[in-house]
Amino acid sequence: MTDPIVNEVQESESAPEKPSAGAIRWAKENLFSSVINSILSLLMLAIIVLFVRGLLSYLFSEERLWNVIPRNMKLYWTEAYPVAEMTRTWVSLGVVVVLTGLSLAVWRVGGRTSPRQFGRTLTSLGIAGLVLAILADASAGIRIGAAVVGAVLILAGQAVRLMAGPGFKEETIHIRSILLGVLAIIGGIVWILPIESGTKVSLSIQGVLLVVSYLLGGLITSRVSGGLARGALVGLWMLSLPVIYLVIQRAPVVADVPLMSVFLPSVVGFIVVGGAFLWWAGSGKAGEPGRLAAGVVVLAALGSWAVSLPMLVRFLLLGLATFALAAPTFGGTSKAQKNIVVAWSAGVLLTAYFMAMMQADTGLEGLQGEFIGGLNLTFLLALAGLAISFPIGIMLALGRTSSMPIFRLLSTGYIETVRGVPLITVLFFANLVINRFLPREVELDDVVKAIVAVALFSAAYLAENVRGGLQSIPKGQYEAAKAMGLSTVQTTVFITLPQALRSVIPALVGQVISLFKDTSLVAIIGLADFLRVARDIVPNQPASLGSLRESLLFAMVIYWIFTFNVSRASLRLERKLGVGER
Amino acid sequence: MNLKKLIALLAVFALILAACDAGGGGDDETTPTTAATDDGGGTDDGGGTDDGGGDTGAQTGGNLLEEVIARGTLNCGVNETLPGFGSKDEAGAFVGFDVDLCRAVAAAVLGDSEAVEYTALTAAQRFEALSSGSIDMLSRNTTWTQSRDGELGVDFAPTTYYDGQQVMARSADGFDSGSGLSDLAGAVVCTNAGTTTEKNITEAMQAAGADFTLTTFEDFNIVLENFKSGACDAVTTDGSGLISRKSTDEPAPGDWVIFPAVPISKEPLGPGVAQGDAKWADAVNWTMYALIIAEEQGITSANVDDMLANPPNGEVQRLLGGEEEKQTAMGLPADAFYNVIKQVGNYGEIFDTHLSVLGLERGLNALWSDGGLLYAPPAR
Repeated sequence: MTDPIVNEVQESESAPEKPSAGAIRWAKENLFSSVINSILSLLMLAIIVLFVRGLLSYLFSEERLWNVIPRNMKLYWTEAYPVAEMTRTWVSLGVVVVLTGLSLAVWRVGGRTSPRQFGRTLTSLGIAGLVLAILADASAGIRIGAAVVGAVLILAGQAVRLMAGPGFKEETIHIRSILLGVLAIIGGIVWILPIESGTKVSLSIQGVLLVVSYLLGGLITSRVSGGLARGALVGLWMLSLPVIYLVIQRAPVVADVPLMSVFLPSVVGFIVVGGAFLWWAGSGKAGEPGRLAAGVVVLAALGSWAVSLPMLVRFLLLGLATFALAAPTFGGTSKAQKNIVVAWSAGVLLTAYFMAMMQADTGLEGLQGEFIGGLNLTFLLALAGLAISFPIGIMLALGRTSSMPIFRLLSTGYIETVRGVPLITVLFFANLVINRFLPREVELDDVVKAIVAVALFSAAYLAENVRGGLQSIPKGQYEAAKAMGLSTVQTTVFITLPQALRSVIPALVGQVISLFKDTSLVAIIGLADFLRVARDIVPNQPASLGSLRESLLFAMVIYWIFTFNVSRASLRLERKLGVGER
Repeated sequence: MNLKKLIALLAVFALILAACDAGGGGDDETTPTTAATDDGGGTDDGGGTDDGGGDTGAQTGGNLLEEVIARGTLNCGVNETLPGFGSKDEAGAFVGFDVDLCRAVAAAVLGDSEAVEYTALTAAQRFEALSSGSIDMLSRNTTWTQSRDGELGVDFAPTTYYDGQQVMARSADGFDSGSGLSDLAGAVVCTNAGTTTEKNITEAMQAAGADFTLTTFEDFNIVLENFKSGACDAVTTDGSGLISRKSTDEPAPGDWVIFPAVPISKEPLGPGVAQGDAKWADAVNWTMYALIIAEEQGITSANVDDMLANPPNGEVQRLLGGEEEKQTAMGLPADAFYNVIKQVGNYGEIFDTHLSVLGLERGLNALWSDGGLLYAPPAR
């Protein structure tokens, strides 16, 4: 590495650069320094050449049925989602794209790079193209095309390097302008591919949305404080999941939801009565009666599941119980009191809204629960599973490290039971048995059952990861917090938990990645997730017979793209939070 | 501190109580439920597809026909992984020979071949789905056997495809269409796990007195990849599957051969319904017969209107709902079979659309008058 990327702050601290040695000298020093090294180098070179040649010849062979992939993109993405309603999935994607664009801008992703580095990357890509042209056992058209593209890239790369020159080293290019170029090239490729023109237009709209939202994000960042923008974006991301799946894609028919008889009275009642109660409980003057009242609410919330009550009331009671327990910790000042009541009202409204959407029948014709499939289902399972398992996992970890024996016993029992059982068993259990544990009038469809199974399974593993973090906190932190007069809850929420979570980011990300890939097991209970589409459905179409390998390779690439990006993002997060440096 | 512990204890106690009640609530029929608490998303839309009954659902006493008409859709169990018989097209819609049989029944009973709700079933799920009543009709390449007819409570409609298990091997290894099972001595024969093909080939090879190695893989695509790579000397499954894969995957014509000429098993495939509902079974059976009679009489989706206007004989006239039609007496609309032919086509048309394109020939599935086995009772 003689030419590091110039986006690190520590650049001034790094050792002075070695003079550029030249490729021949580098090879002499590193590959051919002795006879044995020379033999080993040549041997490895031969193996690499053979491997690359085999791989390229395989990928570009005329026997490969790559046309199966673009033709079945709709199946891979959404499986059997009604064709007439595909706009809904495009809108869902648009929501994600806009949020991504805003996030890229607000979090200032992408540093700067030197033109020399950029030229070097272009040259490498060009060389890859030439390697392809020379080695691949492909048709003449592909080889000539690859050679031309490779040559152009090498020339462009060298031109950039020469223009930059040694004197212009401090000149830098923003990575986002390179990404914009890549986006434009992808856009061009999309228009060449043999796919429907409607799809081309939709994809182009998504690209434009990405750019526009990025610019908008830049504008927002320059106007409001970074913390506010980031907080709002995190909130929007969390809201986007239920909005996309419950509202946009499910197309609920709200007409048959008892809005007037159940929802309106519940919402008004809980906001007014619950808000007043929380105002009192969060005032700091409630003391022991406040705790007693909170206990009563907890009991009522749990008891509501034993009697016949609308689901909305049960959930709102659970929420009220949580708020009542938390109010003494977070309240105290009048500003905090106001915040609690505002948060409570917003929570009630959102809960009621999403429950109404969930209870409404879907307006999609001929499909009840199973309208979600393909990559769409894979994402739903992974994201919803993660969103549910995260709080449960943290609670279990706290329970297991708690000094109260009942909580410790329950948490440990749960964690060890679930960790001792394969995910497939949990999925079967959820699919066949879970309805028996629920009140009679609640009947979950297969997708929800799978989400519950994935979430419960993942929570046990997350709990152990978080517990590892909690145990890494030095005892002095607890003692210092106690000496400051913080309560146990305050110590946990403000002192130990943030540090614990920060220190286990690598383990948590590993858990996220394995959760994402484990979702492919839901095929066993009959759901058509992405891998099932790629493995069972597409290769068995009469027009796509014999395309199993192509389809699976495509699935592999897609899984890789997402998991790789998750791990890159986590590395960024780790650097930012300084994991391993303190 | 004490109070906190007390609250925690009470909370745990309440949790246990709630769990007990919810668990016991399963038997408590009298629990009042309000409409507001119904959170199920409405999967059970009042059609009486009682899914709690298990096997008892089969003995509903002959009202499935009325139920289907009242519901307005036909619930049909199909395959999504058998090329030509049942698979999903690029848009995710079910297509195939077996799927068209569902469409034909929907056209006959409901007048609309699109009024079908398909359920993709695995081989293991199919009979449970039928006996529990979650599907009205099973059209998923199911072999008519004595045990399924007798023990599993399936009433089989007339056979719509006569299949039989065969073996496919490479001609470069010295096999030709005249080869027999004894030529497979010492070979590695591959098939997909969990089906009767394993048992059939083992029995047949024992009978032929030849030793062989049987290797199984999870699905037939993987079996075929292993055959192509040379890990398997021969593959075996139903003849239809072998022929369709030969027509698409064979490196050069004549590289692969299928034998023996007389298959090693009989696989009569056809739709099935739950036992104990004669009226519904009749409706399905006669829809299948109508497809065959239409081909016998030369009625196609293109000429069905002409045929209805100027019937060449009494049978065509009756079948298409003209004078003396017999459909009303069965509880079907008079124009039931007109709709079938108009919207789906006759047997030959369905066969051509889905199976001929895969290289399958009529063979045993030709009309009896052409030397095949398809024979429908007369419509009179």
